[in-house]
Amino acid sequence: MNIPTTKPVPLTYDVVVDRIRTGALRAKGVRLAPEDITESTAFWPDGDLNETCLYFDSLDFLELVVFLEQEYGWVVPETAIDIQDCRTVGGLATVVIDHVPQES
Amino acid sequence: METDLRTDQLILAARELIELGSDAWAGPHTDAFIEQVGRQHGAGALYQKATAKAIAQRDLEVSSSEQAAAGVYRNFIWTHFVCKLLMTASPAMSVQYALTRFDIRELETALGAVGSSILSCFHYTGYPLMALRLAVSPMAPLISKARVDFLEKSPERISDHVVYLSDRSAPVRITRALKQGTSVWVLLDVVLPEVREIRTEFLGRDMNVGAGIETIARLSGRPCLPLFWEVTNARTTLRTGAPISQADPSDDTLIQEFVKTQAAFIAAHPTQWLEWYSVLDEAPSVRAQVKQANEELWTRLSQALRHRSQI
Repeated sequence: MNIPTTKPVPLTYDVVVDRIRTGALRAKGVRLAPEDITESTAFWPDGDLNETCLYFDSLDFLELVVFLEQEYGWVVPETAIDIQDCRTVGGLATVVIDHVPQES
Repeated sequence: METDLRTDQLILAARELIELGSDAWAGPHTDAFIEQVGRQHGAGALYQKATAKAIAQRDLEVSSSEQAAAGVYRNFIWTHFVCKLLMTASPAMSVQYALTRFDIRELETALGAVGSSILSCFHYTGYPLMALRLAVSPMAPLISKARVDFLEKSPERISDHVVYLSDRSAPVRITRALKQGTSVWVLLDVVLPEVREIRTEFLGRDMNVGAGIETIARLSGRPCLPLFWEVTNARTTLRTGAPISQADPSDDTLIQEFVKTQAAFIAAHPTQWLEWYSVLDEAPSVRAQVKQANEELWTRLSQALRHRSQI
């Protein structure tokens, strides 16, 4: 019998952004379509009215962090959750890659 | 501008109070100090007027809402100025006072049976001291909103447990701590700007409180334990209500159930709750003025701490 082997899935930036997008869409009140959530989408605004923003509060962000933890085992240290570093989807993706071991 | 330390009666009174050591928490000198501070608080009249209005709106068995408001104001001054002054001037003496005067056995028993919990209450008389008492106990919960400036200067074991709710990471830290067996102390009656609120029924009228613990209870799977206490000249006993769990993830009654427990206590002990005015529509404006007056008064009082050797 051939036992299928699981090839390691590299934790690439694009994979992380895609999974963050999946988690973000679960939040209540999100009005953006999946394709509108990109690496430059902000979780919370910083005054730029032209910026695409999810308008998350700290509880929405908590739900997202717990989703990433439970679904993918990505535990982002609290000390890495910085209001500037994690302000955008891409920023959070970078924090995840910096702190989570490559998955296999 | 600094006041003349030799002539400012408030600073001199503060120094005298500090020098009383463990006798400074209560007694004739403390009462006189409270009167003096109360007279010089820039928003004292506003605080009492707003408190009396909020009490009058509720159907409570008090002979006079103004009289009750005066009692609240006295407890407010004791909590924000006597406690703050003594905790800052004599941390070790404050810990000793909290250890000997605050009985937390009921909570210890409850946590032994229930496990890590969201320890929730409103801002009651002496809440920074109660937080300190819990911080130095074996249960050592994460502490938010209770003289964190004092607590974070405390020995490492305590300062590591201070959490600022304004930090984006605070809900994550709290949720993880609960899952890992550490309880968390959260005061729900003062809602920070831009924080999600939920409307509840409180003594027959509406009241907005922070919505965070419902999400945190659901994600951590841990219950809310309501707390209450009445500070008296005798020993203060921390009371614990029945744990409130969120059995169904779609259930959104946890906070209302919690508010009910606090309402029942406040109805019986109206002078113990310091944030009566938060139920008023004009609460943000009142809070801003009270906060500013607090800071102005504290700036004066803190000179007694900075220049103790000069007096």
